[in-house]
Amino acid sequence: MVSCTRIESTLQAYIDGELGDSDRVIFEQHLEDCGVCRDSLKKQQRTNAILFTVFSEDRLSHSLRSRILTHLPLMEVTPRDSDSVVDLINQRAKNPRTLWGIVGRLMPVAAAAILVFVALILNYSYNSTDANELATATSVGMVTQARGSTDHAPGNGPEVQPAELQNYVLRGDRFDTRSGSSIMIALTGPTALKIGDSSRVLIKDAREITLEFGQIWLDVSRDGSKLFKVHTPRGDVTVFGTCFAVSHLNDETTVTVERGEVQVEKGNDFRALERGEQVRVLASGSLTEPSLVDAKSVNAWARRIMPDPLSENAFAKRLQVKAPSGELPARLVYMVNTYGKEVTALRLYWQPQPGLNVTSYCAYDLYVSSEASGAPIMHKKIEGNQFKDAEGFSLDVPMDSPVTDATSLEIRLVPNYSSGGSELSDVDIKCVVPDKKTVEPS
Amino acid sequence: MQFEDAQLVYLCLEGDTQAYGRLVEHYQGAVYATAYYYVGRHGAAEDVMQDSFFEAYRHLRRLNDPSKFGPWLKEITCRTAANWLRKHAKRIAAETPLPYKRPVAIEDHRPGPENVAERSELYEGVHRAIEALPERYRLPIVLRYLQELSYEEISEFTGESKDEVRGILQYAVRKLRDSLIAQSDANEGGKNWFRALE
Repeated sequence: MVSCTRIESTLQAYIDGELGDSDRVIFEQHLEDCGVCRDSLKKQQRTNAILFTVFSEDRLSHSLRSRILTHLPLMEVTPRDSDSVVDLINQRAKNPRTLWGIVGRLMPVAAAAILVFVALILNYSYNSTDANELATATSVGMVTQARGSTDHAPGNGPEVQPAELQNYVLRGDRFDTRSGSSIMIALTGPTALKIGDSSRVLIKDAREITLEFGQIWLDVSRDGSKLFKVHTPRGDVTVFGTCFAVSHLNDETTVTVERGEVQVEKGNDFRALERGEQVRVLASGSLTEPSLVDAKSVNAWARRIMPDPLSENAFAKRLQVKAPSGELPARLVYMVNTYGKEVTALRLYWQPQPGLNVTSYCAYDLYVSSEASGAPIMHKKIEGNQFKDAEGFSLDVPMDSPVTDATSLEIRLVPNYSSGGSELSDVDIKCVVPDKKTVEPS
Repeated sequence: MQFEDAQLVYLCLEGDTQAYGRLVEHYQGAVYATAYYYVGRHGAAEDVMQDSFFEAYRHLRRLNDPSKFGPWLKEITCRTAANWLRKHAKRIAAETPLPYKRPVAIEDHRPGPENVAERSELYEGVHRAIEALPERYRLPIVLRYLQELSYEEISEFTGESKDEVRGILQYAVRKLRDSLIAQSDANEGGKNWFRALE
């Protein structure tokens, strides 16, 4: 039973309908048993009624929008970039987006799809609407802003064109920006991707891209439980829902996190970054320690790239509807207490999913770090089918060298979907100490 | 919402007045309530509101972080209201400050002068009780009860977090409950009116 003080402190939020579901249930349960709080609620409701009634007489009942707009002062228009809205409108008029344009551009994709789904094509009447549907079914995103001199190279053909608003983005597409240009892409997920000037980005999937050079800024949705990966010539970045920037300039990769959580890895070395932290992968291949920076000013260039509202709407209408649902968790985090004992291996347990005939399990990346200091200890790859062959649904992963100085380990298990196969459900991890006994997770 | 604000501000800076129209639409309730809080008793809420949006548009370029348009607009509204009060100080000094309300509309069908008197007594009581609150708690109360803004909308405008807004309203209404309900229970004459609300 919760205390009356706590209930009293949520009275107003309850009346205003601003209490979360679980808090509301607790609140209502308490009220059933507590006369004092019922009385308080009544009085509080009376107070609310009085306040609403008294103020209702003076409420602004009509919109003053048009009165305000007709009396606006003149604002001096000094475009911040080389392009202004006017230029964009002209650009759109020059390159009107017609259905035929889309059909033409997507012909190769349509052809491939038709070959694969021979059965489907038997009663498939091909027209522009279907092509449009096909486009929305196969594309992973849409261009929502493009300024200056840019290239959009489709992954399945040689024709290179400037990136245009509302272009569909398909797997394998490549984007180039030259000096003073920028592109913004909305990827399904949803993820906002801003590409700075003099950059090249390859879209591998809605949640996997490669930055060949230049700088990008990403806002990856927290809703999608799948992770997001950025590859660079120097190391990979794995993201668990966040807002961050990556640049690869002068053969050095820099990752700056605005909010959320990011993991940067190069070979077997890795660092976990949080809000305001920055890590560099040097040309030598080594990772620097995370340092605190003013992420907002570092990423100020990205703030100047704003999406075109029409394209944003088009993206939301045509692509965002197929946002993935019910996806498996992107990572599993475990805190395992070692009680200061020496740990020689980690033992992974799992339960086979009943009723699901899994023929192959996907591979995993296993990251171990000290919970107290965050210092990395080990990174191991677990091959996909090891799980299937392991006996009794447990698998021992030996440590590179026995861990003796940590009292608690932070272990992340990140599935690698590119290996194919399904994800394990309900994995449990225990530490193995030299006498082969295990230590329970805390 | 924050993101959309920033987007609209950029469009405004490029000369799109319709984008400003959307900002006006979104914030007019909050700006009106703030203006009402300062100059409502002198019937100048709408004028101050219009001036505030005028000033905000004129100085839009000075807004450093476009996602903070709400709190910035709030500051402008407060300043505009303060300027209005300074400008009309003489006239205000000659006026009786209460009641707040604008003249009663002609189509007002409430029965009898007795009821009207009772209501204006209640009206003054509520405003007195709000004025007794610490400064920080007053504006959120007006935003909530005058324009029925949600916690989210209040937080967008005042710059306080949603949890802070929640705490502020909880504390403020609790205080008002103590003063108003006690007042109503003590005041036999006004009791019928409160009973009707139960």
